[in-house]
Amino acid sequence: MKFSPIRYLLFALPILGLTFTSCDEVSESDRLIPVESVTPARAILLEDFTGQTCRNCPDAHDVIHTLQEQYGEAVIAVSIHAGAFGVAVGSADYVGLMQPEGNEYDARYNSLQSWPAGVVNRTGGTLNHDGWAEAVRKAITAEPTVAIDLEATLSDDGKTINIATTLRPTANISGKLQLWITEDGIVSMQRNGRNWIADYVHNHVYRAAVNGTWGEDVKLTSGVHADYNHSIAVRDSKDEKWDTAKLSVIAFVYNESEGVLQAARVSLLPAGNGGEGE
Amino acid sequence: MKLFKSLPALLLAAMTPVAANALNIGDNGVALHGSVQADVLFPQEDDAIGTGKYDKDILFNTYADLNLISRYVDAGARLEFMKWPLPGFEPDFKGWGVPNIYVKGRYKGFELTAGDFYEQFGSGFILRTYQERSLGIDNSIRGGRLKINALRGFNFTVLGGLQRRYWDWKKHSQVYGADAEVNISELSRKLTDKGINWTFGASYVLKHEDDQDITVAGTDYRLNLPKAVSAFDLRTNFHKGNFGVMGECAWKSQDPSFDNNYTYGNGTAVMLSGSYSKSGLSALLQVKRSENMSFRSQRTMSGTSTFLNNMPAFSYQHTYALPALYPYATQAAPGEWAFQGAFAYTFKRKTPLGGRYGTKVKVNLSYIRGLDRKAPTPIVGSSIAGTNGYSSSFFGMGEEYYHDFNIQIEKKLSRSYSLSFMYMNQMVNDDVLKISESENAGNIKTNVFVYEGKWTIDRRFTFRHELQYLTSRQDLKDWAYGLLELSVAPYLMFTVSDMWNCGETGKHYYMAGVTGNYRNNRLMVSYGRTRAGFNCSGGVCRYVPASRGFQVAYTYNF
Repeated sequence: MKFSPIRYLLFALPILGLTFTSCDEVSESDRLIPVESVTPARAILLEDFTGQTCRNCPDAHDVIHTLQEQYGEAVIAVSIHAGAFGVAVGSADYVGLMQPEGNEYDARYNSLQSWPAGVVNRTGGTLNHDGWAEAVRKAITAEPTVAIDLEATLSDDGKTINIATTLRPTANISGKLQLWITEDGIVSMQRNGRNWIADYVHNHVYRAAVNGTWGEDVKLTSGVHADYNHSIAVRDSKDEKWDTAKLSVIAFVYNESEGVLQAARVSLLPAGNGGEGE
Repeated sequence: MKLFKSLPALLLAAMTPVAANALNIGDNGVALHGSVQADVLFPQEDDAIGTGKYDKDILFNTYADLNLISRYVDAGARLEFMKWPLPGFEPDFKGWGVPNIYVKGRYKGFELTAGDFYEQFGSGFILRTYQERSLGIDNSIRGGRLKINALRGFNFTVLGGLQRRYWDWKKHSQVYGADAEVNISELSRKLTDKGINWTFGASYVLKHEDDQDITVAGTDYRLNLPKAVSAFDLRTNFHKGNFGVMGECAWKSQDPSFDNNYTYGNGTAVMLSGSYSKSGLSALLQVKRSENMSFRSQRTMSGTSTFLNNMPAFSYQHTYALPALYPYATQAAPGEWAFQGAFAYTFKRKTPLGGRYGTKVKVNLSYIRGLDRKAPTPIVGSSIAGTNGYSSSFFGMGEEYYHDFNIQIEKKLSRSYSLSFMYMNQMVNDDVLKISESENAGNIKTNVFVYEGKWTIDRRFTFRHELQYLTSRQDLKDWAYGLLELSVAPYLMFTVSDMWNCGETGKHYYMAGVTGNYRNNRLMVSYGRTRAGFNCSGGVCRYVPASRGFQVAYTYNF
């Protein structure tokens, strides 16, 4: 076998190239870069598109739990059961958690159409749960342009939830006010990897929209408070039975251009009690 | 009706082909080739099979290619129209435009391409860009490529560019690669004289991606991400006479991504294959081990897009309906041990087992297991991000993922009648492969029987028929399938089929269609139901939702 100079050069080129290729190896001690702790300046809304037959969704629930431990009440998470892995209310022999509006929210905001997926403040696109921590970190320090006072009480007969909302804008805002009911501590089936957990505890589950699927229009003037009153019947049927002791009301103001401007959550208090949330 | 608004697009989709003769300007060495492909569905909602709701009366995917071929320069472009795509593709698949355009020049063993191109190094362990329309995959590279085969026995390729993800080419992630292959036999007369064909190859791929903020949830730490990810591949292929041996191995540097939970372990793959082939007999044995070999151009992506590589499928690609009900998708990220054997023998005609016309027997076995993985200890919080990821010993095997044993017999009984018979035993680990929509499907075990007969009635008419039965105690249990097909040469074919879930739901998935071929045109029109399932090709699968309605598929090649 004779090597011509050109053949030799072309044969040697890849080998030479290999010696100069870059391999960005990061040693174990250098893999984590500390970032500045942030102090929440506002509450953020994290919509978690999830499903009871979704094998990886509990991982996302764990991320929510971790973020709530880190930022407390500033992270308002709502688990919206939807899509191919959702189990509709009344469709199974266990408690199903998928509401019809859940699929509407999913169709509009879950551009990945994979589950779990989430949206933070309805901006920044749909994210896999590995991206939630950074998105929350960035969003939580922004100064809000509206404050929300929220109060929710149960009627004496226990059948109606009454909600009083006050919006205190610091800028002129055109958008929508959305009110949701969520429920914690629902024990029902959930797939987790290869296992089915019959007594999985579902938290912050979307239950109903109080003022329409997409909320109601609001036009706020800076410095001028706006008050709203709403009510919704407690659902108590064979297929869907709310535990009023574990219900919360979520309120948020949003528009298409800026996303969620502020959010608030308050636990439902029994009749005869008042409470405020921010 | 919305259909009329779609007419301009439909006309584009079914553009009348120019007569072939006008496109082949053969005398001065320039030729124009191309194709048109349109797959159309007029969907109907069917709650019984769970089709979901449609907001369009017509859904279609359309492709139109034009390629100019000459002695020194080629050029081409492809128009794609998926503004209202068929169901089951990822949301970003929607769109239309000219996503593929290229110019290629060649001169004396040098070939330079500028634009969009596809390339594969070796078996695809570290680079395989390709288009698979049924899966919605097109991960071509937009940039430049130089191929040199000016020297006898030596091939060299170098390339660089941005990878396509549907209608986007992210500038923050660049791909570069080089491949060298030498055919020792072309350089050595001794080897040639002995009938030996022996090649060696080496490849390198570099992905450079900008830094991103990936915060570890619950902590005040972000990940220090490597911006450059390198992958190397070595391979050899030896052939002598009827024997062939192929070996390949690959290694990937730290590549924290969504696929591997942002861990920093290296990826490895090794494959060994041996084959024997002569007239009437062939045998193949191959084994592969891969770990953490999901290699994407964008680290945060999931789904079927942005893969730079493609691990070869080690499961038999079935074409019959029921054996393809539970396909296997290669587990690139967690890794696998995969074994495959194939044996084919033809009993000669006029022998006791061969009969009057000969009998062909094929046996295939695929067996795939996971790796024996140990979870790492988190560095911070409860996440394994930042660790070296799961560890496993080289020969350690985990649970079984899949096996498929099948035996096929093909026999001609008379001048006009031939038959095929297949038996398959299959196991699919649904906990891993996530195929079934049933709860607690666990390991799905099936036995499948297939009978296919073909009767050539006369010169014009051929009648093909299939009967298939799948028996299982898991998932949707038993299925039956029947197909009748009448071909009227040279232009027409009529088909009617039904897939019946007799074991659980009782639902029928019927289909009737007619296919016409005329010169370079092929048109298929059908109506019926399609069950939800997986469409797989080369170890990659796409979930296809249930559908019902008229389907039209048109292709034209020139």
